Amino acid sequence: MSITTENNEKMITLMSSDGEEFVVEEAVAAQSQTIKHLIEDGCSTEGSIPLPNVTGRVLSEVIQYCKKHSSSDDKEEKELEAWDAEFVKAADDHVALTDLMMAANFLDIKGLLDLVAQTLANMITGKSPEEVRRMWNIKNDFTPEEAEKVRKENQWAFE
Amino acid sequence: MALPSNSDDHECCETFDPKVYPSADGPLAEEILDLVREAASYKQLKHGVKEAIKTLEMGISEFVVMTADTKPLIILHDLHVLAEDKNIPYVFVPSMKALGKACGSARPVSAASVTSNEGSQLNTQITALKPRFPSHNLPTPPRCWLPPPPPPSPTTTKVLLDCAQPPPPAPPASRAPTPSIVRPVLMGKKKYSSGIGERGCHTQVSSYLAIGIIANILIRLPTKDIVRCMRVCKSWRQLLTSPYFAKLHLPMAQQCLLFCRALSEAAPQPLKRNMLPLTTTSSADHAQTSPVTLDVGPRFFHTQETVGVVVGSCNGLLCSVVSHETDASGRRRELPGLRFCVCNPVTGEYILIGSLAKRPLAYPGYPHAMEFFHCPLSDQYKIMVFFRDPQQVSLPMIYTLGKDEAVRLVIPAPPQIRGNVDACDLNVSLCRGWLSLSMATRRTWHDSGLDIWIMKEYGEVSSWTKQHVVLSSSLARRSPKVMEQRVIPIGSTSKRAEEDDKVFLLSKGGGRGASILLSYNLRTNKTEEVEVNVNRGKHCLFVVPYTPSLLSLGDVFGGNGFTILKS
Repeated sequence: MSITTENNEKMITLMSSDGEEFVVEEAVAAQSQTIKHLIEDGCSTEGSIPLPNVTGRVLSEVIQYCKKHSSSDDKEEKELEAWDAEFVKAADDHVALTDLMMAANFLDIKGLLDLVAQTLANMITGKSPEEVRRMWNIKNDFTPEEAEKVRKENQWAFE
Repeated sequence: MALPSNSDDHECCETFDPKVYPSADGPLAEEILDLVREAASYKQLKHGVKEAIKTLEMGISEFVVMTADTKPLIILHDLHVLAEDKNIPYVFVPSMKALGKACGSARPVSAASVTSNEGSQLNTQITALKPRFPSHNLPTPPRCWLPPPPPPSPTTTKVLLDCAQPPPPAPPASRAPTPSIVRPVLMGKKKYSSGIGERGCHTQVSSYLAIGIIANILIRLPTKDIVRCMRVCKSWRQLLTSPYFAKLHLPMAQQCLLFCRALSEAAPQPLKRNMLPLTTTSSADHAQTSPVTLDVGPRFFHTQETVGVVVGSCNGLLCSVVSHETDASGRRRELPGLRFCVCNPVTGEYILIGSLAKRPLAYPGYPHAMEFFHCPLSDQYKIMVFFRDPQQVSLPMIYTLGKDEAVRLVIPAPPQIRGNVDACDLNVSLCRGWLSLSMATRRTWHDSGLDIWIMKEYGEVSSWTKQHVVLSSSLARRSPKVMEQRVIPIGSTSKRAEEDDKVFLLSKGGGRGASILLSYNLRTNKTEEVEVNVNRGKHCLFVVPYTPSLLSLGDVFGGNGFTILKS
């Protein structure tokens, strides 16, 4: 259901996968293209919007980001950049960032997606394949022969 | 790098591929398109892969239409897998153009989703049409465009399905129980489930969701790190070597300047003359401060042919003139006619273009300027060669790679300078995609500069625009020779040419052969010498703007009769 506050701002209720409810202003929620389209299609009039792919913890972070970015003007670009940097720093590790990224992908929030992807990319830069594997628990499924072949092909990148 | 499995992309463009299944042809395709047209007018249609995926995630899609001539086909992968997991009917129609038309879009459309709307007049038609789609239950599995990664473990399938769960009507009560490994609901800070790499489910990186996400992260890496990541695991390697990834990566790649020193006859060691020493700067912004050497030397032109000058670079491909050949005994001989070599230093692939040699063209003398460029309209790579002609200002020849022909064009010079200028004083180049003519002017000692004429509309004589470059007096004092040399605009390193104010100018060929790189700001009219940490020696220095890319020559030129060689 949509509630209206004193300053006539329409409120939207979002529900995370673990049942937590978040009440936010429509302008904040509409930062997400996915939610925006849902609102346009009239899905928000009947109860809360369920977001089955996003947990409450991640959703609260996403909303924090959307709030900041919907209230800021273009003028404060520098300040916003600094805020963004703090924001990803606060997410503290790549696991949290990966979750955030998947949520941003599902909710289609381009700014957040770019921000998190760039942060993760910066984390990978300069890492060896083994370190990248450890980071995401990826199993090395190359046989020793295959690994040797791939290594030879790309020798220059390892020198 | 070997590209193990991308041949599919070429095959399905000509005819229906069994992999593009189920496909509708002829009258059924027409009926489908008719329904799409009507759905568009009832606003029950979303077109584009991303939009279609969204309708599936929302659970509002009736059916999905994809097109068989989508190139590369892999962009439909996520949609295809999702439609299958959600059990939404999907069908392939032959043409992107036709689908675009049906969607009411002026551009080709590769996929569309017809959405549901209770009480819509279309519902009977939709219900009638859906069962007539060719069956999905294939003897061969349909998800073939990504080479099948290790067979998904039960966990992976669950994860995939779970991600694809439609918004349930009344969450969370009605939600199907999910395995704890997927969603260990997680209030504690560290006991937090990540999509990627929950212990033991490494194969999840190949699920539809992760492909897009991983690609989105990896395209932001420097080229060297991307190549390094190919060793992480098989599915990453498949992703990173796919033409799909190369295309995604291209607009993200950092442009830089590539320095090459051409070989003079005095090149000392016979073995080393097969290589060109290359240096790139880290990016345009750092051109002045922190040049970085990219180790491409040993891979580049490590061939039997000796390479002359670099013609140009475009989309990460380098084109150079092959003027000499080294035979088995190490002897060098000059080749007749014009031969080019196009290579991608990152993948180590190269092709030799001998067609111009096979059919020697009647051209007046040696070309005095050449350019290598990509035409986005026709998606073809072309080489433009300028010859000096005393009658005309210049006589360009355009050679399209993959076509055994060269087109000769006569491009009229700006009327203002016709007849007044000795053609030999003019330099021709492509600057930021525009044809440009430049000539040195020296009115007084303090006002020495350069006139650059830019043809802003290709082929339009009236669009020649003059830009006068004033070389700053300090520069002129420091290097008085600049004015006696040929100063050539070599383009800018910025992607957004129209927003960028800087062009790079190269002064070369004068005096003792030392070359000077200048940057010129179009707005403030200031020229600066760009300090580059390249050993400026006796040999002439060539500079080209260069964007490292992962484009595979096999993908770009395959099927055009070229042999792809590897260094």
